[in-house]
Amino acid sequence: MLLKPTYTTDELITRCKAGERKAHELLYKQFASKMLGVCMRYAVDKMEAEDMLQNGFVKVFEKLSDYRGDGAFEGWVRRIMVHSAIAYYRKHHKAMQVIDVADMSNEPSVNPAAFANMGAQDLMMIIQQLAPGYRMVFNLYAIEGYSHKEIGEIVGITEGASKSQLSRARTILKDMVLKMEDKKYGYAG
Amino acid sequence: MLDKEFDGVFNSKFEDFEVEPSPMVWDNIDAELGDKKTKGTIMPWLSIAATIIVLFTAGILFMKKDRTVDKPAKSDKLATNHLKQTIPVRIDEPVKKDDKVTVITKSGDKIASNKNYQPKNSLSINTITAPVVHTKDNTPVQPQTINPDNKQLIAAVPDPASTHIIATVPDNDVKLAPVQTNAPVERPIVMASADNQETAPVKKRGIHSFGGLINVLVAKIDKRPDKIIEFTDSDDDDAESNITGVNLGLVKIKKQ
Repeated sequence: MLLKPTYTTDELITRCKAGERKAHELLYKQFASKMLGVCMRYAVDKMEAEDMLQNGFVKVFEKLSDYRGDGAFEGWVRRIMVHSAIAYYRKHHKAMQVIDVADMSNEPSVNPAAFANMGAQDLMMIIQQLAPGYRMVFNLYAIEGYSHKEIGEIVGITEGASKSQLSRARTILKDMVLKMEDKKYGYAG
Repeated sequence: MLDKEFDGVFNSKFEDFEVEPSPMVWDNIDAELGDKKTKGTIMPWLSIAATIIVLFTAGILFMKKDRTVDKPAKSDKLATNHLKQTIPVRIDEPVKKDDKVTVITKSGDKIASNKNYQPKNSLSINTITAPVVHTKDNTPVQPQTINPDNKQLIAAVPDPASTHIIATVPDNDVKLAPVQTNAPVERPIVMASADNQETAPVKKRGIHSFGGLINVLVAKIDKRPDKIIEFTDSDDDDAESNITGVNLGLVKIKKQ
């Protein structure tokens, strides 16, 4: 019975540290799809996300010797991907465009049931339509779980700016979700 | 809908969200890692090769320096050449007799160096010429020192007073004749000591200025005839030490 040798993540890390080229590829393949899913939330499209993924994995392999095994490896890789996405964003979108949204006194009310039924692809499409600045802050706060202080340090904005951008991002997203519910699922808000 | 609930929906939907990247991404990563690895492995070798080349070229330069040191000693100084040529011609004959004659060549060197380093200094020239006159005047004196040996031989010749021996005498005479002709050359034996006395002032004048001090220090280290750097050492009140010669092995500059 011929079986391809399977390695645990720790074994792959050890082999990568020893400079085994095949181990690099196996480690990449183990996390590539999931990490591209992360990068997609920060990018406009898949192409941009793949650039972020590429830069991120090069960094992962470069810094692999620094990884001491404390904490989950996936979380460590994910943090590098997020930082790679922000670095890419800073490089290619020098001015963080923050489009002022018209003051929405009437915040759109999303139908929770319809919203919960929406697929990840739809939500991804909505997020990618956000202005880069809003997308960045929303991702970091709502999904990555960073505090406003941390976001301010990572993105290079004030804590207050992070808060206001998150608020505006949510409003825009809710509006977009509402429109999609109406259009795709026939729900009305 | 609360903000937390709203965020939570996004969070849960994206939790297992995966997208298959195109194979091109790994190729690019692999290429980038390969470039960095080769750079990392090549760089040490490049630096080693560079140091070898530097040391090798430096070695060649120094080798050339050593070779060139001999040549310029003959060709550079016209004054020394003349003196060395004239004196050894006569010296060749008496070499058999006196090692002291070689001292003359040394004194000759020093005379030459005097002329080179102090062309404008009339005093030194006078002092040098003075012994030359002395040597001519001393012609009767020197035969006294050397001739006794010869005279003993001459004295031995007439003693036998036989014709057979007379035949041998001329041989001695023949030998003596050139010795006597050499006598004026041998005068410098006296002159050599005189010259040595004269060269002492040369040493004295070694340091008159900062340039002279540098010259002395350089001479201690650099034994070549053309020092790596030479300065003027004048007594002038100008006291400016100008560079008169530079010898970097391949590059030589010398003011006359």
